[in-house]
Amino acid sequence: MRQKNLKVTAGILIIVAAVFYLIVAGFSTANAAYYLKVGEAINGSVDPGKYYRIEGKIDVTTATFDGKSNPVVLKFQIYDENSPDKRLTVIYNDVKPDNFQEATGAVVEGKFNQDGTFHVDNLNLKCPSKYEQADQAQQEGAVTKFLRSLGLKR
Amino acid sequence: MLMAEVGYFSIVLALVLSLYGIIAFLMAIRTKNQALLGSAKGAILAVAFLSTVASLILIFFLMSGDYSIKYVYEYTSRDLPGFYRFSAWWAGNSGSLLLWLFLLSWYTVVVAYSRKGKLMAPYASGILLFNSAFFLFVLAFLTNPFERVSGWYPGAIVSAGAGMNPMLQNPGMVFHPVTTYLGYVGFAIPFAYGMTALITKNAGDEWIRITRRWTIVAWLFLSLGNLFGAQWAYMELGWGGYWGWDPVENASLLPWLTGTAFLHSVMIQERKDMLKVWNVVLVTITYVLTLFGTFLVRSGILTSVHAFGSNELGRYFLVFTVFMLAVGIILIVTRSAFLTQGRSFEAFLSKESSFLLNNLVLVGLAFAVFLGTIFPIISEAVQGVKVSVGAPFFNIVSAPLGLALFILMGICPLIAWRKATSKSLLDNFLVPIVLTAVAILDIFLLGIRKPYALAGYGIAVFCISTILREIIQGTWVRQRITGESFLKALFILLIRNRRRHGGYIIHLGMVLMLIAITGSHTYNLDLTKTVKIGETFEIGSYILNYSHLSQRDLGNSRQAVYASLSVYDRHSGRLLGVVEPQKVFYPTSDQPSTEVGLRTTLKEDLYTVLADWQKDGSATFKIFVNPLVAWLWIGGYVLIFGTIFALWPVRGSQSGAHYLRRQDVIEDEVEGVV
Repeated sequence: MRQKNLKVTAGILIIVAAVFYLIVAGFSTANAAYYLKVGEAINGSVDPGKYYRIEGKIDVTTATFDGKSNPVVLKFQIYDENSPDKRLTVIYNDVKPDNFQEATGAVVEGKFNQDGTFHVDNLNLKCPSKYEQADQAQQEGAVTKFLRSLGLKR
Repeated sequence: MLMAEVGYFSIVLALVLSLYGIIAFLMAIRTKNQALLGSAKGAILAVAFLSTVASLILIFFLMSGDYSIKYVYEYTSRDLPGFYRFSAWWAGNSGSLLLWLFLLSWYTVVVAYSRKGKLMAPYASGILLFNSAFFLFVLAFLTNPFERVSGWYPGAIVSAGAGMNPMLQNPGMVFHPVTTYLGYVGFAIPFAYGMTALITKNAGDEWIRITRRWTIVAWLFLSLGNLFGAQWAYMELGWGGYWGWDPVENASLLPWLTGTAFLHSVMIQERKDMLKVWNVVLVTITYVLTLFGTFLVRSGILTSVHAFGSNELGRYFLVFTVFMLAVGIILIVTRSAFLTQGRSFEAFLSKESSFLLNNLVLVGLAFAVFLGTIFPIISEAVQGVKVSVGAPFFNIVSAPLGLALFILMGICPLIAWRKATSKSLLDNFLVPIVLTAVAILDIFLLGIRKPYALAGYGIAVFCISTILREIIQGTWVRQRITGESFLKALFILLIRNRRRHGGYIIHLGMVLMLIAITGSHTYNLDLTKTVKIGETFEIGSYILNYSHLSQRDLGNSRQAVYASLSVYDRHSGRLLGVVEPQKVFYPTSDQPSTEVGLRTTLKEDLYTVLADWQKDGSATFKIFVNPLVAWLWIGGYVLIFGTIFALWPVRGSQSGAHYLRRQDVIEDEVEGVV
């Protein structure tokens, strides 16, 4: 009896260990993306080997799309709301997503090129009109804001 | 008309009545006063009635297009078809909460007035009523669906609405939210009964037997919700995939995972009187995860494609979620001593222990997905730096665990309850293992070399062969005893134990999904290309010819620009058909919205997106070849069929516990003979 329970316990332990191993392996192999503001990215304190997730407003007027080149290139600039003159050029080798023109902001994920442009492989758009009229623009720091509203953070 | 006011006051009145109902239940239970109990049940009926009134009024506003109501203004417009007008009920925040309340309040009526478990029903109804009260509070004070664009009656007259988001105008988006909510709400009932078992110190499996059907129905709807969501994403978002590990997708996957674990572990309690504490823990986790999912969606705390966007509401949901979790934990900790185990494991090689392992893998997977989903929150709270993990993390974790689950699924039918001998194991597994080896060798020779493709396909064949072996063996035994024909014996075998065989059918459906997921993640192709009219290009086994770009009227003031692509087989040169990816222009949106051009076969999907076009007619396409995706939807239908098969009432008997137990003993013995 005791021995059988031991075997069951061993089975349980193996699965628990496997799950933890996979989580750790997942965190170390997968690209963990560091959140960054456009201002911080331009000030130059970035690591070219690291994967970043940057949020900003899109300047739609400077966006260009080149469908002829291979791969295709979508180029646009993003900026922080409170300092519109500091701009980061984003390069995305894919087509313009729906809602690109009316997006209020973008969350882009990728790595920095040597010339300081940001080469992304993930472009998420934020559209305030999407589901709710309410202001949805401040994703960055939403947690901080939220915790503050609960009085948990100053 | 004061209809908006009537709608709002029915919500307020329902809130008052639900609070009365909760107090009446508490007092009726304490004083054993039957009249008070009847009154409390009346309150439940009244709450359901009032939530129906409120819903009907909202539906009336939506259908008739009264744009002076803010909700109607925001989510509908003049040229919106009636079908989508109705679905606007759950297109926005307050409307979808009203739908939730509507479902919950009627579920509560069924619980309160059910004849099963008379002693438990008052407690369970009280707990459910508390849930309703929370939703009513939210609707009454935070997000009133009957708010006018300006002021109280009569308000400003508004002649047109802002319109529904084009992305929601898709049949998938009509069914996805409703089925998901039916699933979410459904899990509140096993939770309420589980808590009742703890409160009343009822150590038996009564609560599990009462809620078995509820659990299965909730699980079915949650499965459907996920499936419709995936289908919607596939058809509407135009990125070529059906699952992106978005926080909100994860939010509905999490309770599905723990709910699936619960569905399996209750069988152990029913048959073996074991895992009692584990079961109440699982049902609590599942229920809390449904609330947590709602919190994630409504709080805007994580970046997501389908977030609503109100921080205010999220805060209250978080408070409610934490409160219910705390109640669950306190009850489990203080009362778990009463849930003594009837038995313990008799052998390592037994169905019980394989169920336990299945549970651990499911919960472990849920834990990993949970951690990945809230990682930005954790890292910001702990370090002040927001760090997110993307799809690669989830894939690394879920692929091996998912395959382990399927292996267990394949093994389980062939292991006996209590104790399996190594000889019986060898007999049972010989044929499936040989078949699996042959299948893997077969596709290896066809040129498939990727490890995940080989593993996924091999495991799928293994599962199918163990399930079929089990059914065929059972049929043979039956034939030998009764002398019936094979088909008759098979038919009677299947319908005699619907729960078991329904389960196997569900497993078959899951295996088909495994095949689809493996195929579409290992051998998918994609291509982005700009071509001139008349130009041809190749992808996979296809040659595509871009023949023209035109415009057409889709009705309801919608215009579409579409490209016509002729599809040829690369080897034979035969014309296979024409696909027409398009961009649809909605009157209420400045931006066109993508409609994919799809050619589906059982082998693979050719998925085309018209991304951009120039004045000279040249156009940019995104083309995907997704192998075996059709099997995902087919597997889903098999799953629905299996669930209904398992739920179909047994004639005459209400499949009571004693009958069930005796039947199982007989089957265990038959299994032993086999």
